[in-house]
Amino acid sequence: MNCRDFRDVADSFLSDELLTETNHEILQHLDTCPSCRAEMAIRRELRGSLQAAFDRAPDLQPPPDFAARLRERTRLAAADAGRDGSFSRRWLMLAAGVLLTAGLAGAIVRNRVTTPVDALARDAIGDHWNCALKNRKVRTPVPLEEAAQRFDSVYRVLLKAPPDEVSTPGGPVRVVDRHSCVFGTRRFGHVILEYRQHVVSLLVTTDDERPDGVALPPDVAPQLHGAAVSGLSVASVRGGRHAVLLVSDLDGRELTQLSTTVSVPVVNQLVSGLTRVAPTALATLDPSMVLDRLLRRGM
Amino acid sequence: MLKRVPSGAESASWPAFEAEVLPHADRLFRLALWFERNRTDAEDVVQDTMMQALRSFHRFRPGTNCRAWLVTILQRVVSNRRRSKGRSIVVSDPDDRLAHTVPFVPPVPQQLTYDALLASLRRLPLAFQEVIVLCDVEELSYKEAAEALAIPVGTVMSRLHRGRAQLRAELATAPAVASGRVER
Repeated sequence: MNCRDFRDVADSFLSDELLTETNHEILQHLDTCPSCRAEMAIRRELRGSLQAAFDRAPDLQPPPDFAARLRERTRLAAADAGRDGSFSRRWLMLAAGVLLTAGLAGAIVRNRVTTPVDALARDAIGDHWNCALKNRKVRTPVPLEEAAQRFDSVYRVLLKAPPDEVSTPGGPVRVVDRHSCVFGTRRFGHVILEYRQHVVSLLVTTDDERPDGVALPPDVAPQLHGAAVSGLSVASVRGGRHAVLLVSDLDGRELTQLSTTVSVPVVNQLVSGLTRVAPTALATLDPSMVLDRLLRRGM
Repeated sequence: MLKRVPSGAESASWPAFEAEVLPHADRLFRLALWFERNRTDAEDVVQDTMMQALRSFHRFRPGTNCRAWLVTILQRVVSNRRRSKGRSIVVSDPDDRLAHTVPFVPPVPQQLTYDALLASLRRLPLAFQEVIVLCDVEELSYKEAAEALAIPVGTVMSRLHRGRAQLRAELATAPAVASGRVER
C-alpha cells in the first residue's frame, strides 16, 4: 500500500468499513510511514472534535426538561393506544373531524372573535383551537410540574385532576394530554380530553375578575359564556383565584353538564389547596360584591 | 370504529420502549436542530419521530442499532417536512463541483473551537453535511446512512470523501483562537 492508497481508505478504516485484510495493509503501512501516521491522527482527532462539538456546543443543547416532556407525551400516547388502539391515528382523526364540522376557515385568533364573550372565554377558545385542535403552538408547552414551580403552584393539581378516565352519563371522558401552554399573553394549565369523539379542553387560568387578594368560594354550577363562537362553546367554573374553563364543540347544555362532572371537582381541589381566608380579610370584603357573586350563581 | 392495528404503542411495550428508545431523545434533538435550525421545529421533529417509533416499535429488532433506526425515521420526518414546506433541496451534484477545488488535504488548525468547527461544517453543501453528521458524528455505517438518506451506499462514500476534504479546506481558513483555548 502506498500513501495515496492509504489516504483514499483512511476514513473508511476509521469507520470500520473495510475488510480485515485491508485493515492489516493499512496498519503495516502506518508502521513504516510517519507522515501517514500523522494524517491518521489528524483525521481521528477531527472526527472526535466533531462529535464533541455536537455533544457540547451550547446552541445545540435541548431544553433541560425536553427529555422529561417527551417521555410524558409518549407515555400518555402509549397508555392511550393500550386502551383502544392506535393513538396517533385516532387522535388525528378526532381533531380533523372537529376542524371539519366546526367549519373554521381560518385560525381563531383573538381579533377575529366577533360575538360578545368575555376576554377569558375568548382566550380559552383561542388556546383550544391553536393547541388542542391545530397543534400550532407559538411557544413550546411546559410540563405541569415545571409550570407549577415557575408560574403558579395550582398547575400541580392538574397532574392528577381530572383523573385519566372519568365516567359520565354520556360516556367516559379520557385524558389525552396534560401540560401548560400560552395563548396571547395568558398562560393556561391545559388538559386535553376525549369525550364521545369530541376534543375537549379543560383550561385553568387566573380569574381576571377576582377581587385583589381575596380567594372566593367556588361556584357550585358552571356558567356558559355567551353564544357559541364558530361552533365552540365555553363553560366556566370560578373559585379561589382561578377559573376552570371547558371548551368544545359540544352543545351548550351538554358542555355545561360535562363541566359539572369534570370541572367542579377540579375547582374544588384548587380552592382546597389555598390558605384559608383570614378573618381580617373577611372583614374587609365588600358585602355587595359577595352578594353579586351569589346572585350570579343563581342562589 | 377503527380496526385495531397491531402496534408497538401498547402499554405492554412501554417499558421496553422507554428503556431502548427514550435515552436517545437529547441526541436526536441535536441532530434535528442541526438540520431544522429552529428549536421549536427541532422539538416537533423529535416528537414526530418518537410517535412514529412508538407506532412501529414492534418492527424494531432488539440488539440492532436503535440509534440508526431512529435516525432513519428522523430523516424521513425532516424530508417530509421539507417537501410539505415546498423546500426542495437542489443537490447540484456536489461531487462534480468539488472535483477541481480540493487539490490537496490542508492541515487542520491546531487551535479549534466548537463554534469554528460547526461554522465550517455549516458552510458545506447540505448533502455533505448530512453524510458527515450521520457517519462521523452519529457513527452510522455507510449502509445505515444510505438507508436513512434513501441514497446508494456509493453516493454516501463519495459525498463523505468530498465533504471531509472540503471541511478540511474550510477549517484551514477558520479564524485562529486568540485565547489559545482548545475545545476538544
